[in-house]
Amino acid sequence: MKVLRTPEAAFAGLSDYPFAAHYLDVATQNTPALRLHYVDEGDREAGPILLLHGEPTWSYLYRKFIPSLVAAGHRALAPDLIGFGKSDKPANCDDYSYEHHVGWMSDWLTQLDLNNITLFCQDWGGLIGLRLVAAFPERFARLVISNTYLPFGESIGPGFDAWRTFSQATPEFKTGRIVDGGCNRALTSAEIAAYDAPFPDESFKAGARQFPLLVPTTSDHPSVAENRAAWVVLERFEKPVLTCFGNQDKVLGHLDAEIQQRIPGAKGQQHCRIDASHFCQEDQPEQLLDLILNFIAAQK
Amino acid sequence: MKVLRTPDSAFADIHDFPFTPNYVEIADPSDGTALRVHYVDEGPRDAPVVLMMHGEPSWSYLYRHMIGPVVAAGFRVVAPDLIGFGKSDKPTKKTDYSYARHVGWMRQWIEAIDLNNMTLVCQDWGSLIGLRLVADMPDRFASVVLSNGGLPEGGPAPRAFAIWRAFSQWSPFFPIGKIVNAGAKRALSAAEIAAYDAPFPDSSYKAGARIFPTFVPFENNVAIPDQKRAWQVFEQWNKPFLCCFSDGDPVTRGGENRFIGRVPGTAGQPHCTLKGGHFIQENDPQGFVDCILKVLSR
Repeated sequence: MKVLRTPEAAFAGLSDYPFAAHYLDVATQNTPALRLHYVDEGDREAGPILLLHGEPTWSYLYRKFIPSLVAAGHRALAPDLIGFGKSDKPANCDDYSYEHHVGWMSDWLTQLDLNNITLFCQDWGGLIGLRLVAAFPERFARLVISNTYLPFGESIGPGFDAWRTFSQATPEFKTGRIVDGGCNRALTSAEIAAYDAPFPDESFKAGARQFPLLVPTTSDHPSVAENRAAWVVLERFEKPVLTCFGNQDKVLGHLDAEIQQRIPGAKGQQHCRIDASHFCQEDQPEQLLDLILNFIAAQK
Repeated sequence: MKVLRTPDSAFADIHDFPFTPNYVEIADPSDGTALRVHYVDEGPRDAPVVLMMHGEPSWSYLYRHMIGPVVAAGFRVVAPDLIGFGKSDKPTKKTDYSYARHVGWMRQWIEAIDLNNMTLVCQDWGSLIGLRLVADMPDRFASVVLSNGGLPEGGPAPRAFAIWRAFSQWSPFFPIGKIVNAGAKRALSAAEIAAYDAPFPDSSYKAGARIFPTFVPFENNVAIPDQKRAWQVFEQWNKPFLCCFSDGDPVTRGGENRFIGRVPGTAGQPHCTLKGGHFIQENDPQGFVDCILKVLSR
């Protein structure tokens, strides 16, 4: 496997991402050891809040969350998925699969031995994060879910189909512009540059290019069985689950009802729709922080 | 400009701040809005003035343990509350504030009560604003005593500061008293924490406190040309300039190295390091007072 590593200099200009870099080597199945980057701020003894990003972002997406979560007394962890951010990037599209991603993050989670986790997930952060919950339900205390789902072989709507078509057809995969387009507000040029930073050129983008093809929206997708099995666990998950989807996410914003109905821990919670597009972390950071912190506080 | 005024009753339960309030009204240069500045003014009116300037997110209460001893040594102590803080008026929108406006507001206040022969004592934003006042009106100042602050002129933000800045911008909660407590390296009493919360009955009063961190001129901030002009004055400043930073402030620790040697007036001064956190006035007020009196007695 040919593996690329984004040079540290690519991240030198980020004035709004002051977090210390942490690294762990992860492996799954037959993959070689890959260096995974993660943010880990706050008291190591405090309850961890796991912030999982998705396509085509990185932990930069949570830069506005981490300081406030730490100030509220929590430990904030935000990993970069393999192929993204400051983590290693296998160079070929074939190097990536849904099960590889779940395996890499499972290895990271178990090496750090995180427990009593509050999960916040969005986009692929949910496709992977909810699989982690299903694999290690005892490690998770509560879930806050936004703009994501766990598909198991069925269509998730025309918005996603259009996105997948675009992702494969576009000659250049402009990650910063894509994130900007998925926000209600206009990102600054510095923020767009920060989303471009992990990818010095197209050769670094195999993981980002491949992600839309890895979503199990047809019955012949190789991860359908795994996701069906995960739903069996989630349908017995009784710890608190809150959904806060963006009311203007045209790709995934309509899928909250499925989660609310199928996960027993979602019963009776104050689910809400927020005034946000797909990248809700960019549109409504303060409101999401308020929801997360109040959700945790309500159970103490 | 919509302006809030904290009701006097909010300060009624503070029993360790016995100083008579003084007020001056200034006019905001942009639209003429009247803004009331509160200040402590203790000691003989004809004595040399010690100007004690607080910063984010505190108020003149910060100097309550220092005012008495400096007055007892024969000086006049004047301690204003910045606009947006303490008992001073509080514009409600973040866009009502800027670094330049803070300097302009305080300059108007100094001219209104015509302070001269001043020794600036400052920390945090008290130094960012106070040092700009010195550079703007050098003839009114006799000396400077600086702790835990500076006059940034670009460059990357220190890591601890960048985290604090992100917290101040995006946090759904902004507990002023707890923030001071966390930066004070001792456990403040519940009454002291309440005194720091007192100027802000609710979040609508906190626009000035919320926006302050984004004004610190790191990176390519709009104030950098003003800072460089101020530095040109300090590079020629021959009057006494003493640094007494804390050993335990993660944000400003070591900041004296930007002044000592570069400001001619730092030569031969008994610079020292005080033991404490960011709010040194809460950790070692007597040590800070000793530094002031050393400068004034030379």
